[in-house]
Amino acid sequence: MRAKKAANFFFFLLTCLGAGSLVFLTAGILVTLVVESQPGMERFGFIQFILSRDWNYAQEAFGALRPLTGTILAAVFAVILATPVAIGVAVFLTELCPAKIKGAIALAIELLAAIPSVIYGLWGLFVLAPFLEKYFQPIVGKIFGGLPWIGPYFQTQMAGGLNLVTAAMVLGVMILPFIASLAREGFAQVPEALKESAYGLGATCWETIVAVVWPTSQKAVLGGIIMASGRALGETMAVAYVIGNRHGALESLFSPYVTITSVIANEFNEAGPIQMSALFYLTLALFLANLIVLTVAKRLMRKS
Amino acid sequence: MTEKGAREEQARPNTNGEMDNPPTAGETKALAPKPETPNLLQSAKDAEVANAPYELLRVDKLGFYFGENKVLKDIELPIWRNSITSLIGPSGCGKTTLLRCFNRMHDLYPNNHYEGQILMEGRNILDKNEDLIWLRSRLGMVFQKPTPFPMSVYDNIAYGLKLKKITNKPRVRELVEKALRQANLWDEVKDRLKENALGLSGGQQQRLSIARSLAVSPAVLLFDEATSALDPISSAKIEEMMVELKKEVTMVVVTHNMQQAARVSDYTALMWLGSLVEYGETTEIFTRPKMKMTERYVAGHFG
Amino acid sequence: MKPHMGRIWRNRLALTLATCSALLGLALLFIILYDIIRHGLSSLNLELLTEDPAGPMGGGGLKGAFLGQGLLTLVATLVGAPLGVLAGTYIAEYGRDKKISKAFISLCDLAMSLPSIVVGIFVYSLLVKPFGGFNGWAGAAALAIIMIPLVTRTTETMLAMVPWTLREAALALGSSYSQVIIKIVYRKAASGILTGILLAIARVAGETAPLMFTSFNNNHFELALGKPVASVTVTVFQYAGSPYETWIDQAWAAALVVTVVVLLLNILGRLAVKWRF
Repeated sequence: MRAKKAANFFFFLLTCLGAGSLVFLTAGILVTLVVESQPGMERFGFIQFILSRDWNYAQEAFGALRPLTGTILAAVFAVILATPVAIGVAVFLTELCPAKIKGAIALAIELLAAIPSVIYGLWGLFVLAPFLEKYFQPIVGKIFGGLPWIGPYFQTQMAGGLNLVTAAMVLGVMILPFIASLAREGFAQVPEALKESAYGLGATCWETIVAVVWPTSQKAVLGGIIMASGRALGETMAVAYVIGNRHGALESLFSPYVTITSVIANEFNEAGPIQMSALFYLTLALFLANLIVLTVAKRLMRKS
Repeated sequence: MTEKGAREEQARPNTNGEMDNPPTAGETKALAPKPETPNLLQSAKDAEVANAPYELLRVDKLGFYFGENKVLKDIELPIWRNSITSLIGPSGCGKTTLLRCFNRMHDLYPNNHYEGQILMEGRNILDKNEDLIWLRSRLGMVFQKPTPFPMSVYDNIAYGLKLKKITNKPRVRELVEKALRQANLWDEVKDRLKENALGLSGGQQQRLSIARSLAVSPAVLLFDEATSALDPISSAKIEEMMVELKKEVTMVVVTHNMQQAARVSDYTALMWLGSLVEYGETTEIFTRPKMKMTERYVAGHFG
Repeated sequence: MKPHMGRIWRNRLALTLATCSALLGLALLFIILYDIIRHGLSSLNLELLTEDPAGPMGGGGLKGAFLGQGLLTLVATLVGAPLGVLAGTYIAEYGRDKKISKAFISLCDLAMSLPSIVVGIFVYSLLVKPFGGFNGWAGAAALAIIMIPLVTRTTETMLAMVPWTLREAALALGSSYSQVIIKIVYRKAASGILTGILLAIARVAGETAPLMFTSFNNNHFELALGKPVASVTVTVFQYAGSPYETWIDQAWAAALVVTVVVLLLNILGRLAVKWRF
């Protein structure tokens, strides 16, 4: 009897150990990032670090403005590109797709999400980037390049197609299935009777989606989109390949640029002490950005 | 009118003489406005003619299949205008399936097909080329659970009008109010029209769903166990409203609740295993049924 | 002529666009797969799996990288999967309906959403810097850290789906709670948990960012976890950035193998839900 009780308690302790590992790793990551970025914080401050354009190895002056801008721009563009397509996929799967092929198509879309990011990077580097440089950039340059004010932002820069737009496109392809499956879950939760009552009033399929399906599921879907943008913020391998990793001004959407993750991936292993600390500081910024995005997304999804 | 009259004549022999005492006669008189202005008098006369009983719908040798499975067999059934017809029968007898044939709800799902006809004023609404948008706005449906759209009370009612391209604001307001009054909901929601409909109580939401269907002035309202999820008071309110509504719409009601069928309906059809067992005036069905099965069912011996 | 042709056409247009998006999504999957297969097959051969790396002149293989990746993933699974299952058990069983389990779920979601490069950097500070060099243990630890929240979440969900009455029935027979969990609840939820673990393995088997700063890479065949250990994904990243055609070709071939393995693991995981134990 006593042995049984002891075994019971021992198992309980084991599960506590498992749960404790979650605390250890999340708290550990936060503490480590704060401690390691201490030298950087002392040297650059907070506001100054965020607003500084510097990335100078010789003078050891490092600022987060450009990596932050690049990270946010790439993620936002990716979400803008992926969302309409993903919503279309979800609409197709919930409202249109014949039941026979639904499972296969859903699986195919999910598999797209399972491909490792380094593979996306490889594909982006050797397939997408040259393709965009050859066919897409000249056309965009021709159409928008001549416009006043915004024209220069569409001018091609010769960098082998490695630039912000390419990075955003690869990211967009990566988060597409993620948004699609979350949107599909959201749509699927709309009660059948609610849709039928819209049809019952003589609404078309599209009108039913607009009147009933979207308003009922929009919070869940928006939560999913924000969640996806969090993924895009932190995605490393795909971006590190194709963004070009050049610390320069963003003269055009087609100029090579940097993101937080591309800087870390490309420079971490050769960084000096101050630069290393600046990289930890950047990672801390990424951690916090991710936390904010996650909180917003969870809140939206819970409300639905 | 002559055409309608002719159809009426045609219909009479099929229906065991219920026509001798059409249920709508009394209501028609109640509807007639005071004969003060000649204009209104004229319309009252029109109303009397228009309300003369005739078969609005005729189910003619209807069969229905889910895949290969024949779930409705040779249903023959008239639906008299401005009356309430209830469909009763044990679970799985096909009454809801039959109800959903009227507004072609089955067309939303794959692998099923119809056989035979449902005639609405001579038009076969099961025709492959039937305009479902038109059809569904003529035959409204109320579901078991309330289905308020996630928008304001006002917008819920105005939604069907918007689909019909009725956008003139005063007109929409007028129609919204009319529909809410018809559904006995106006007094309860007139001060909260802009509030989200999801905030209403269950019974109010159900009457909102009814008002939403009424706003587009359908010829028929189909009730699919519309009160089974409600408390007795809310469902009494809805029954009361249904009786009042007979002036304006024809209703087909699927119900599990036999007392309800006896209380509100003029005609009752008993279904069993996808077939129509017996159809007749409600009083006949409940007091002098012709079939043994009907007698046992209404006495509560099975189902 | 129907009076609402405008509405019908708008409906058709919208639904056509939705169908086109679905086709685009599918097309992207097939284009990517096609490109990986096309480039990968042209330089895929048995030597890739059985030989040690040669110079940029061509030839040789990535035996060490494949074995290394397998080893890292294996060690990570041996550590991460049990911890994840235990954490999920704590949340679903001992913390059921308590505030603490909500807190743990939030923590778990945070851990799951963390960019993998953040995990890599964390492990670098924890297990690389203090020990004076890249090592395999650190790589395995980073992968395990990514696995734990994934496994926790599926375990928690699967256990919560086991009806409570089942536990009551077993407890009423005089079993201790831990016995009930191990012998009855786990068995009932086994296929779901296994699916979670397989999908988590599929996820970490393709990870690159957390390995770059932990196990790094190694040109020599090395399976001692105290030293830098080669991995396919890091090798793909490094070779793809190199100026040598032969290395780039090898990167494609290796990418093909990684993709196939990861997708197969995914499909296997999805099938596992249906298994009975």
